[in-house]
Amino acid sequence: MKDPYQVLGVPRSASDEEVKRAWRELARKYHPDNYAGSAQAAGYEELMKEINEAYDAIQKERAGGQRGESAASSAYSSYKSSGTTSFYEVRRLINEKKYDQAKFIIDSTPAADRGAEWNFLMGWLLYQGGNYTDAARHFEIACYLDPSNREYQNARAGMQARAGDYGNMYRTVGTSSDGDCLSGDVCGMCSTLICCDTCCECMGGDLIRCC
Amino acid sequence: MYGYVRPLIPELKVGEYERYRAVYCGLCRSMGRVTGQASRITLSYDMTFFAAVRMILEGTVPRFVPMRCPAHPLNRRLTAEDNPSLRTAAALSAVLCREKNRDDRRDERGLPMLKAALRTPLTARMERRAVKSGLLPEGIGSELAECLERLCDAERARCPSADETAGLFGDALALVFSAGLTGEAAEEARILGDGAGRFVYLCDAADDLPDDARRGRYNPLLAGWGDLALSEGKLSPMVRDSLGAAVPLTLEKMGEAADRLDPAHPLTPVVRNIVYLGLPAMLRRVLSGEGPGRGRTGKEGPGSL
Repeated sequence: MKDPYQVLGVPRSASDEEVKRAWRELARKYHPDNYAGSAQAAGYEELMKEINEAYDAIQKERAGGQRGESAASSAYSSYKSSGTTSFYEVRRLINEKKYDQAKFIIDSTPAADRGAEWNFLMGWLLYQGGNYTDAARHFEIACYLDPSNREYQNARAGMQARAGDYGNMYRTVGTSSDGDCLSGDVCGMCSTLICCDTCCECMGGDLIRCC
Repeated sequence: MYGYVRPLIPELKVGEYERYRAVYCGLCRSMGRVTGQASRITLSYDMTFFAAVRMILEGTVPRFVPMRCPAHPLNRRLTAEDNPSLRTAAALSAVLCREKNRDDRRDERGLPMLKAALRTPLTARMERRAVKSGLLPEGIGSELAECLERLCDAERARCPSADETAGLFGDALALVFSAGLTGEAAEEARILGDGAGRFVYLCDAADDLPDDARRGRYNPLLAGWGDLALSEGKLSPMVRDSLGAAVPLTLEKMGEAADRLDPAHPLTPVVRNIVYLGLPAMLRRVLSGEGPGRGRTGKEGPGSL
C-alpha cells in the first residue's frame, strides 16, 4: 500500500503548508503539459494522478482526523493499472542528468517489476550519487538475474576496474616525473644541453664551444 | 576499537615503521597520563591512525625517544614523546570508547553484552577523566552520542542500505577526527574520519555476516542482500565481488585527502601507506574470511599487492 506522505516526499510530521508546497513542486515538475507531444505524456498523466490523489488523501485525513487509506490505495491501483513500468523513460532522464526524477520513477516501481533492468538502473543512480556499496550490490544482482546482458556486465566491470586503480596513486604524488628530459632536474637539464649540442653539430653549428 | 585501520608493513620504510610504532607507544603512554593507566588496554590501531592524522593536521612534530614500558620491559622502544595532539587523541579515544560501550550494552545479547557490562566502570571513569582534563571541545560527548543514536535508529529499522548506515558511522568518526580543529584542517580531518568510519563499518559487517545470520541479528549486508548474502555459511562470491569493487571507491576521497597532507611531516608517509595500501590489504583479508587478525597485515608478503 502506498503511503501518501511518501509519494509527496514529506515526513508525517510536516505542516499543512509544507505538504502543500511539496505537492505544488511535484505538480510543476511532472505536469503532463510539460511533456506534451512526447511519447511519455501518458506516463506522466498517471504520475500526476498519483500525486494529486496523495495530496487529496492527506487533506482528507487531516480534515476528518482519520487516515485516508482508501484514497491512497486507489492511487496505488491506478498506478499499477498503467502496466509494467517503462524503463525507457528512466534512461532518458538519466541521459539528461535529471537524476531526481529518474529516482522518483525507480522508487515508485512496484516490487513485481523490479527485475534485472530495474536493478541496473537503480545501481546506476546510486553510483552517480556516490553510494558505491549499494550500487555494486544492484549491479551484481542485475548480472545475477540476467547473466547474458553485456550492459550490466560492463557496468560491473567498470566499477571493478576503477577499484583496481585505487592504491596505484601510492608514492606517485610528490616524486619527480621520470623519463621526461624537460622536467627540470639537474641531470635532465645536462642531458638536454648535450642533445642540443649534438644536434647543432650535425647541422654544422655548435651550441657548447668546448665539446 | 576494531583494529581494521593498519599499515601494510612490508611496504613501509624501516624508519616509517619505527615512527608508526613510536606513535602507537606514545599514544598508549599519553592515554595512561590523561585517562588513567587502566585505559591503556583500550589502545587500538584505529586510534593510532587517528593520533598520526591529528599530529599531521595540527603540525605537531613529536620528539622520538627510546623508552621502556611495562608491556615490553626488556628493550627500550622508540616512543613519540607526550604532546598536546597525542593528549587530545587520547581524550577523544576515551569518549569514543565510552559511547561504543553504551551502544554495546544496549544492542548486544549474551556474552558480548556481559563483556560490555564489565567494561562499563572503566570506560565511564575514562570519560570522566577525559572531560576533567579540559582537552575536549565543548559538547563533543553529546554530539557523538547523537550521531550514534541516529545509527542505532537506522539499525533498529533494519535499514537495507549499507551506504547509509556506514555513512552514519562515518559521520561519528568524522566528528571525532575533526573535534577542536578549524578551517581546512577540520575539513581534511572530516574526510579522513568519514572514510575510516565507513571502512571500519563495512569490514565489520562483512566479518560478522555469518555470525549475524545465525543469530538473526541486524547486519547491513544481510538486510540488503537477503538470501544471496551467504553461500555455504560464508560470504557469497557475489557479496565479496561487490565489496571488493565498492569499498576502494568509497576510499577515493580519503586518498585525495591523504595526498593533500603536509609532505614534510615525518608521519605523512605512514598515513598514506595506511590509506592506500593498508586498508585495501585489510579488505582483502576480511573478504577472504580471515578477519582482522591480531598480528600485522601483509604477512602474505609484498608480492601479493
